[in-house]
Amino acid sequence: MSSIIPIKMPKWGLSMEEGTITTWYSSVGDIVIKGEDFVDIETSKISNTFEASKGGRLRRQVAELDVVYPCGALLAIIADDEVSEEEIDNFIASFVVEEEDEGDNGPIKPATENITVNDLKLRYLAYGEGDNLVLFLHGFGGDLENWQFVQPLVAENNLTVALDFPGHGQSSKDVSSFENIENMADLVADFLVTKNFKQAHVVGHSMGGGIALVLAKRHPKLVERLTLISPVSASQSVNADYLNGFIDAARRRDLERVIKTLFGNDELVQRAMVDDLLRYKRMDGVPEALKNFANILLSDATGDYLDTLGSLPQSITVLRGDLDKIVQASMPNDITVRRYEMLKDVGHMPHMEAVSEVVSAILEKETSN
Amino acid sequence: MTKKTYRQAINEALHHEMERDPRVILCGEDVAGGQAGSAGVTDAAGGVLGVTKGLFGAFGESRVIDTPISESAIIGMAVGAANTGLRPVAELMFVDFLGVCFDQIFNQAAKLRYMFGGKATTPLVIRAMVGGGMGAAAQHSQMLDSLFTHIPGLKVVLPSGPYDAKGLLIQAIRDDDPVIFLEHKMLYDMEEEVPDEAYTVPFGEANYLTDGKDVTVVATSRMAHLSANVAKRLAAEGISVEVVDPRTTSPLDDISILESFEKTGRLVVVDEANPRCSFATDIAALISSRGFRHQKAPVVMVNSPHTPVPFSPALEQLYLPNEEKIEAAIREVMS
Repeated sequence: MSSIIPIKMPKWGLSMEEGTITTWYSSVGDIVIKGEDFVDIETSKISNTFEASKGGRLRRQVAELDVVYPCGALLAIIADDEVSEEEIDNFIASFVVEEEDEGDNGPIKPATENITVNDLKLRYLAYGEGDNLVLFLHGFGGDLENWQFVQPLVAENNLTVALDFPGHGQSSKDVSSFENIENMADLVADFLVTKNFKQAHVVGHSMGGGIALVLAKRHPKLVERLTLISPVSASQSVNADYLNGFIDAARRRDLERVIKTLFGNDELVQRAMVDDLLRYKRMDGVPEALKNFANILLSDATGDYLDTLGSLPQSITVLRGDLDKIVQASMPNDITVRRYEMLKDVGHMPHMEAVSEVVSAILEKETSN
Repeated sequence: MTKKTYRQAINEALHHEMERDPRVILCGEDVAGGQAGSAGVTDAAGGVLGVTKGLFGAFGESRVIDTPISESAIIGMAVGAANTGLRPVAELMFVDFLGVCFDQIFNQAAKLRYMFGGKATTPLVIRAMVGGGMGAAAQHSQMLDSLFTHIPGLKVVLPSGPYDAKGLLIQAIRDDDPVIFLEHKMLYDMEEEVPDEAYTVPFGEANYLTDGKDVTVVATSRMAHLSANVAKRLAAEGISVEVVDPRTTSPLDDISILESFEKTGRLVVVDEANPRCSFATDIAALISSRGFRHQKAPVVMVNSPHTPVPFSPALEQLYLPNEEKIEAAIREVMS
């Protein structure tokens, strides 16, 4: 069967409008394999490797290096050998960048929604379809956009929901009612119940990983499975200098220095990422919220709770980066981990630095045990 | 996030701060928008361009004060109120009228903290419109930021868009020193995503409208956008332009400007004001005194000529810096 597969500029996150190719990993004539590195794309926020969504022979590199293209623009053509050059020329000539709001035939642009749980406004981003719910919980100082590379890939075959914790993103900023990590886990449980979700595969990063563990303990029926990314999983495991540095950094230069410690390769950080975080940190209530969460994360009570969690019935996968400077912790002794992986040359942000490894860990089928 | 105009963003900032802090009051000509009168008006504009609309209804006559047409009375009252514990926001319509209040601004508001050895503060914001482009003629179109930047003890703010306008105004109201807050009259309808919540943008931190490595363009207020448009066009030709908007001319983020210049070695300053003793010459001096060893080309300034702003729309368009002039300047430093 002869067919032409267009590879287009992806849209990562809610705000990406354009991107630039900085590296091609294949030359015209090469066979491209689905899931392998295809191009490096730089956006105003972050640089990332874009993996081929389809396999086949790379017939044409349509986009030029270092030129800015809008999301949806044609980057390359993959096609079988039977497809003639003329057919490809015609395809490129008639290609039109689809408008985001094109309606039924156009790509669906996911939009965030708000819900009130326990008098707190929570923002979340839900999309995809499937019987299984995958719930994403971000880390300290993060928001639902941290899942911008992972969530779209998981959403191809699953219903996915990414949540903004209170005090984060665009959820309510007053977190004075949160005194311990159990309160935070209970809020996630209340969110699931309010939304009428019976059970979730919970994917938690860092602080969100710690909250996921507590959620699995306190509300075992709601948690089908855990995938923990650089989780806070034991006492004394969080780099307090990072938390305090993040809270204290008032200016771009200071915050940039702090943010770069999150990544194995700090060149991934672009100016807009730092600017967005500054905008977040400068909202009324955010400094107090961050201090509150930092106190909870660093408290003996949280450490003791995690250290004495006991066994958990759920299947657990843990991914960490070997260059993680923020959280280094073993898993609590009594917990059986199905798969524990230390990713090479990756820092604290595997879901942004090693997207395909994280996605395949989430999508990995349960082996019968 | 919802898109809001520059006008709405300023209105929201006033609303947030008046709600949060009972010491914040507004005063100026017609800021109540007719609601203070006896004619039964309920939804008139609020200020000459409608920026304070609705605030009288929300906060009442003791906090939204319509004044006589006497600029020196408005500022004199506001300085005194600030010294005795309130946090007034005085609206003065056109910056051109501030001339009749220079004693209160230059000798009183700006000097009191210094002369009382830090024991007195003047937490005052003076809002005024700047700039040309509306055909408002020579006495209502000036870009006078440089006059105020020259005076120690004043902070001078030039928001170039809705997001910055809201955050910088909240910062200005919370600041304990007198702040001259200059709104460009051609930007009031500009829209941008602005959070509903209160937030601040600190003084003395530049914003980057584009990232680049060949030329640094320093531009404030409306000129920052014209420069960014040119930068985006030139990017397609492979000329990479970094547009730096200092956001406040006092305090000035000289570090960011020098850092950018260290990388590019070429500077264009775009300033709507006429050039003698201006913001543009100040930045040019900064580069020649502290950035000289990185300099690859002479600094080029894009300014208005040293004349009053013409009333004739055709002449006014010729008078003001525009995208063509900015582009020519960038090509000049690249050649």
